Amino acid sequence: MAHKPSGLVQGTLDMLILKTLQLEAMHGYGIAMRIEQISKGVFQVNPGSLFPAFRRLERAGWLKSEWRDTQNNRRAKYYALTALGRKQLTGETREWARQAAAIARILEAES
Amino acid sequence: MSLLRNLAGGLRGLFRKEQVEREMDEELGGYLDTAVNEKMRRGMSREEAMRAARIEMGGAESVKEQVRAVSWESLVETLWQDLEFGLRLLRFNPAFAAAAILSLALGIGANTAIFQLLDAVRLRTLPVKNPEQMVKINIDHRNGASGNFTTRYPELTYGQWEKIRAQQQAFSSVFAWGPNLFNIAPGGEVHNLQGLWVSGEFFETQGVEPALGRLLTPADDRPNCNSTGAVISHSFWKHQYAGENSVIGRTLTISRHPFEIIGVTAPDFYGVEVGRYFDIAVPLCAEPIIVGEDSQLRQATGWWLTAMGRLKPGWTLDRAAAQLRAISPGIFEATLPPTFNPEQARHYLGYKLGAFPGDSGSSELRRNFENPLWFLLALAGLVLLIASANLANLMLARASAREKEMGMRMAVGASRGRLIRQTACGKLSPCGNRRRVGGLLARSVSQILVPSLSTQNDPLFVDLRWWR
Repeated sequence: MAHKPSGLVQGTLDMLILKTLQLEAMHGYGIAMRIEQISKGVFQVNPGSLFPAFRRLERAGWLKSEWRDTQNNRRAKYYALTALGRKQLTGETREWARQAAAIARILEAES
Repeated sequence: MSLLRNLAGGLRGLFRKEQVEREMDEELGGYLDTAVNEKMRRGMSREEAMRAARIEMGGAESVKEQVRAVSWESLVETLWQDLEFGLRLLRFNPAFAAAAILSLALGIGANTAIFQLLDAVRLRTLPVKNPEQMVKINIDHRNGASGNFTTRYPELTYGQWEKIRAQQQAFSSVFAWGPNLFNIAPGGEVHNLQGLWVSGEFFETQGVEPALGRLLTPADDRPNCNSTGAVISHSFWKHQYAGENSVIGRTLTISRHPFEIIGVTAPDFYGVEVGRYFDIAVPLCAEPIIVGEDSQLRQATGWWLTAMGRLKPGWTLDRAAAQLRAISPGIFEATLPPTFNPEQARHYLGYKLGAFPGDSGSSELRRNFENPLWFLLALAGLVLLIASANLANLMLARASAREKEMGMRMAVGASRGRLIRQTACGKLSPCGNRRRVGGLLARSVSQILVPSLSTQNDPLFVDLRWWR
């Protein structure tokens, strides 16, 4: 890894978790790994922010959780999107795209 | 909807705390195990993997604390814990606790005592029905008056009072009164009580209800009455007659003249003079009976009465004052004392009646002590401020002594906010004690202050309320 893993942009962790869960239910470690792999190691999520985020999203009604057995026969808490969570993800993705495009335009503008 | 879910989740957290905590432990444990397995799969030894995973995770307690901090119910829970913790700390430091409680209690006590006095003397209104309608009727700028001034509030003569009653239009009714000492001993040694001369309208106008029997009415206050009834106050009834109902019809002697007791006033009525109480009230027409040949009643130069009235609906103080001014020349012409020389007469005829707010009654005590009391209150406030500053310093000193402890607690996962809250709780938890001690102090201080202003013949009465 050439660079140190960078911190997340404020407020984007929730969106990344929702996105990660879009296809299938996962447990906490799985989610952290998926985010790290897909971002190619740029984002490393530590449990100190991951678990509070789960609690927050669950309270907001965007995630639901259940205990299931993992592949290696352990029990783990699996998180999955709710209908409300899907809606939230769509909204946040759209908003993010808008903002990112705007920032890109500003950075590319010739001064 | 999401509020409801939040509420439900929070309640679950509060009432099924153990289960929620267990799930959290299991989840974090699972995370750690998975992380270790993953790292071992990539070729680390078991020890190395454990170590790396632990470092990644940070303290498990700290993570749990962060998760708990997301939800509102943790606030409720930790607040309670913090309060308990604060109390425990105080118990370990009884000297500090005593100093903190005492210094603030003194400050609070002094403030409360003086405020109690100020409230009784200045702020509270008369114990009558609709006190805001009460108006004092005085002569505005009465200079050069001469004659006998016999009571504490010698504002008017009887002649002037009769004319005012007959000619005023601003008030639904008016009454006059004058304080005096009544000697009720049947013979021998003098036994003085606080007495009131009152016009027949006195009780009616103020809307005072009798606790027993009936109160004086205009029918009792006929000119040249031979014998009349007397009304006694509730406190006099309680301590002199032990609150017996048979008091009605009993005879009381005032300056060896018999008066029949016809009624007792309501418990909270102490008269219209703040800072005094009364024992016995008799009609104005009884004054010649009691005083005899020194009677002021028929003397044009006998100043001994104070008049008040209840405004008619729709009348303002200004309008009442204007009407009183308009009838003044006629009144003073008709009551001009024949003994006056031209200079005195000129002054007398120029007098104008005025209307003044009467919702808090008359008070010599207020006239003399209002400003000193405000000053004292300011002073006591300052003292409280200084006590608080001292206490703040003391706490600062203690805080630096606890620096290491705080550092240690932050290291094992306490959040900054939690530490602040805990410290604040530690400071606040003795507040209840301070207030209680302060209240007790206030009570005794004001009970010492008031009697120290009284003399035997001149007792003061201040209705000190006690707030809880």
